[in-house]
This record gives sequence, C-alpha cells and structure tokens, in this order.
Amino acid sequence: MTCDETRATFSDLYDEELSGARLVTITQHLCTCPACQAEWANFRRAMQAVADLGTAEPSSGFAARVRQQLEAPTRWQRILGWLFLPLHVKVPIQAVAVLVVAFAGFLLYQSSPDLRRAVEPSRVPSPPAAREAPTPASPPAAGEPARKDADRGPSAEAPKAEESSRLFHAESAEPGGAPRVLRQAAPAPAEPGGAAAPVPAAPNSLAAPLSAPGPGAAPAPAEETQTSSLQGRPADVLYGTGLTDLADGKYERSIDNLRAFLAQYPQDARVPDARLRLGEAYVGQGRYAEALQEYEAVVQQFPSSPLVPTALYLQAQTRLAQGDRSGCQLLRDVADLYPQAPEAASARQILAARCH
Amino acid sequence: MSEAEAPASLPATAVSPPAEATGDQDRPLVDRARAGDTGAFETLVRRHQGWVFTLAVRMLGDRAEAEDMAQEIFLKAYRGLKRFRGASRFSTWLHAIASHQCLNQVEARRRRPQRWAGNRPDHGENDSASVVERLADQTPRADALAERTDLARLVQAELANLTAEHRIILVLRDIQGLSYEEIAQALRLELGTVRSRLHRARMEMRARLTPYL
Repeated sequence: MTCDETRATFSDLYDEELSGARLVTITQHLCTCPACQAEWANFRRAMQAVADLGTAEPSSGFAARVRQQLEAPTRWQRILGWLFLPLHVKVPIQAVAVLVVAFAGFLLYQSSPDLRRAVEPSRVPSPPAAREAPTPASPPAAGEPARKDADRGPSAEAPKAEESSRLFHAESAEPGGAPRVLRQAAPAPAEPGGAAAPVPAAPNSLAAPLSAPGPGAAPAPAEETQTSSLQGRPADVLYGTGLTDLADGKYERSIDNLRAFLAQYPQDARVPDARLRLGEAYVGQGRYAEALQEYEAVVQQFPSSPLVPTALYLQAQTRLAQGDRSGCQLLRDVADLYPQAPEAASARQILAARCH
Repeated sequence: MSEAEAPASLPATAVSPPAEATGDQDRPLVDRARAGDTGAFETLVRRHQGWVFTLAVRMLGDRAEAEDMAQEIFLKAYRGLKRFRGASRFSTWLHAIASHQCLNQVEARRRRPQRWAGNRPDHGENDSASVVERLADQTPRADALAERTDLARLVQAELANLTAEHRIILVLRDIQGLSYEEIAQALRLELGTVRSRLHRARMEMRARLTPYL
C-alpha cells in the first residue's frame, strides 16, 4: 500500500469505519512509514482542534423569546384582525366616518356656487323664462352660448344681457297681438305632498337662475342702501348687470340692479323683461310672493306685451312649485289663449303631468 | 460496525443532541406543539437550542447573527410541524431545517457586500492567504498556540475559509457528532457523497491547521 492510498483512508480510519484486512494493511503501513505516521498525527490533532471548538449556548431567555415570537400575531393576522373588527368597534368607527364625509360634502356644497347650481335644478322645477325653443325634453346646457339679438347690439358691460333681451325683442311676436282675456287665478289649496313634484324642465338657458334658492341664500338688504349706490348708472349697465348676475346665480346683486333699473328708467322699453328677470331672481332667493307680484305686474301693466304668456307661464310654475294648484288654471290660460306661444307646448305637458 | 449505527468513537468533546431528545421522547411534545401548544414547543426549544445555536455559530462565525438564525430555525420548524409525519426523529428533521437555513444564510451573505474579514467568499486551498497564515506572519508560532482561546479563534477562522459544503459536513460530524446516515438525511445526500465530502473537508482542514499544531 502506498502512502497516498494510506492517507486517503485517514477519514475512515479516524471514524473507525475500517475493519478486517484493510484495517490490518493500513495499520502495518503506518507502523513502518514515519512520514505517514507524522501525517496521521497531524490529522488527529487537527480534528481534535476542530472538535475542541465545542458547544455554544444562546443568551438566556432564548426559548422564551422564541415562544413570544410564536404567539405574536403575524402581519396577516394583524391585517385580518383589523378588517374583521367586532361590530361594537367597527360600527361606531363607520358611523363617525359617514358623519365626517357628510360634513365635508356639506362644506364643499356650501363653498361652491357652481355645485349648488348644478344640483338645484334637479330638485326644484324651474319655469321657463324665454319664449324660444320650449322643448321640455331637451333643456339647454348651462354653458350654451347666447344667441345674438338681431335688433340690439351687444353691451360691453353685460354680454350675457343679450341672451336675456331676446324676451323683450322676441322676433316671434304673438300673431293675435294682445291677449283677449287674462284670468287671474284664485289661489287653490296646496297640493298634497308638497310642491316638489317634478315637472318638465325649463326650456331655456335661464332655467338655472330660476331654480330654488340655495341653502345659503340671504334675503335682500335694505333697498335704499343698495339702490342709492346705483344711482345715476346708465340703463344698459343696470339692466345688463342685473341679467349677468342673474345668470351667475348672484340673485341679490341682480335684484339690486334690476330694481335700480326699474326705478330710474320706468319708461324704458325693457321694463317688462326686467320685471320678469326680477321675478326670476326672487324665485332664486325663495321669495315667491315677490316673484309673483313681478309676473303679475307684467300681465297687468303690459297686457299687449309679447311677454304676457311668458309671465303667465312663470307665474304658473311658481305657484305649482309652492304647491298652489291655481297654477294649473294659469297653464290652461297659456295653452288656450296663446296656442302659438312657445310656452303653450310646455304648459300642455305640465297640465298632462300634474293637473289631472 | 454498521453504517446505520452511531459511530463508536466520536471525539471526546463532540456535542450530540441530548439523549432524551433523540428518540421518541420528543414525540409527545411535538404532538402537543402541533396542536398549538406553544409551551410544549418552548420545551422542545430548550432541549435543542444548544446544538442548533452551535451549528449556527460555527457556520456563521458571529454570535448575534447565529442567535437570529437559531430563532428563525425554530420558527420555521414550528410553522412546518404539520408537515412533520414522524418518519424520522424530530432532531433529525430539525437538523435538516437548521442545515439548510445555515447554508442559505451563508449563500445570502456571500452575495452581499463584505463587511467583515471572516465574511470572505468561500474559496479553495490555492486562494489568497488564510486568516491563520496572515496571523502567523505577524505572530510567533509559540505565542499563537499559547492560549487555547487563540487556537479556537484560529480554528474558527479557518473553518470560515472552507466552502460552505465542507464546513457544514465538518461541523455536523466532528462538532455535532452526527452519524453518516443522519448527515445524509439532513443534507439530503448519498452516503458515499457524505463520506467523500467529509474526507476532503478534513484533509483541507488538516492542511490549514498543520503549521500551527
């Protein structure tokens, strides 16, 4: 046996895995070979040094810490525990969350006039104010561009006024001229269930200003204070600003300007239209009685105006919005006496829907 | 002697799993732990924590890291108790978990940036000078061997320079005292592979330590 063959068996020899003739042969070689003897001694010392490294112990409390780790909830258990909280914990949390969301929504609603205007027309019926395109099925969008009036040039101070002045300069005048008879409907008992029953939407772009007042709508301040600051302003400015403010939902300012216009320029040809617009602004503030006065004033003071059917229609809408069924009679007047007026079609639809 | 039996002559200081933990004595505790009794598992941890921690510290060379590793080994064992069918002893099954965890950790450390001298990648005998050799260059041989703690430190350093496969088989056999069969089960190796790999590991260790013995 060679030295290499002998040294290749050192591991087995160290573990006493050899036996029989093989063990005898190797033992004989080791006894006669000093080099292998030294090598075997070195091997044993090295293995002994490795074994002498011995054991090591973890720090005290190791087992207890392992147990703590075992008993601690895992991340998924914590997540599931949060998702499936008991009802007596979860319900109050959810209730508070709902209140917080509702309060935030209310604050947002209060602070955003655009949002108010977007929401209000769907809650309260809005009577149409214009004579054109009274198609209930297709109410115009809030951003519909104003159509130019053929007779009146645009006012630099109030570009939106042009759209509204169409009422005054309506190209489709009544074929029959002045209304033959204007019946004043007597107030009827309020409709059961309140005044919020839906009716066809207003068929013109002034529907939004005619909507019910926002929660934050404030009553008009003293008229003297407001009108005094508007003294001496040109008629176009007052009239145009009034219409612009009305379109923007600034009812109080619209009322001030229109009232100043009516007070300072009572002979102006736009007075009937200004009164209708003033009524719309009152409706916007929830001041229905004052709105009805303005509509009625147009009918009484300008019986030959082409705006009479519009005034009647708006009056009817306002009454119905208040739950006053006498509005139905006014709608019948519009439909019967002004069959060619754009409001007639809308009046008939509302009659069919609400005035059985 | 049959290979299935434990070796008759283990090194005197070799550390074996506790005698009461190497047979069926673990089974009642294992069954209770499997049913969710963490107290029973804590008892199992107390029984086996010594050799598990020893294996970890010899493989990793750092006590703090070894303690984390030992903790991880026991947690993994607890989570895997449902898969333990009792075909082997609990200690053998735990050895397999511990060995693979340690090998994985060594491999993960090898891929991380090196932060300490003993954390060098495994290399063969012909690579750069070992820690022992570098220390020997600076210290007279008699001084290096004067203190037993110094020798242990040198041996541990040389152990860290073995490949992970050689290191673990040397630890399992010459420090833990496992039989060839137990090593084969723990490392999922053939007996012949265990035998040949152990021989190479021992010869490499002898070559590294001989100048200082």
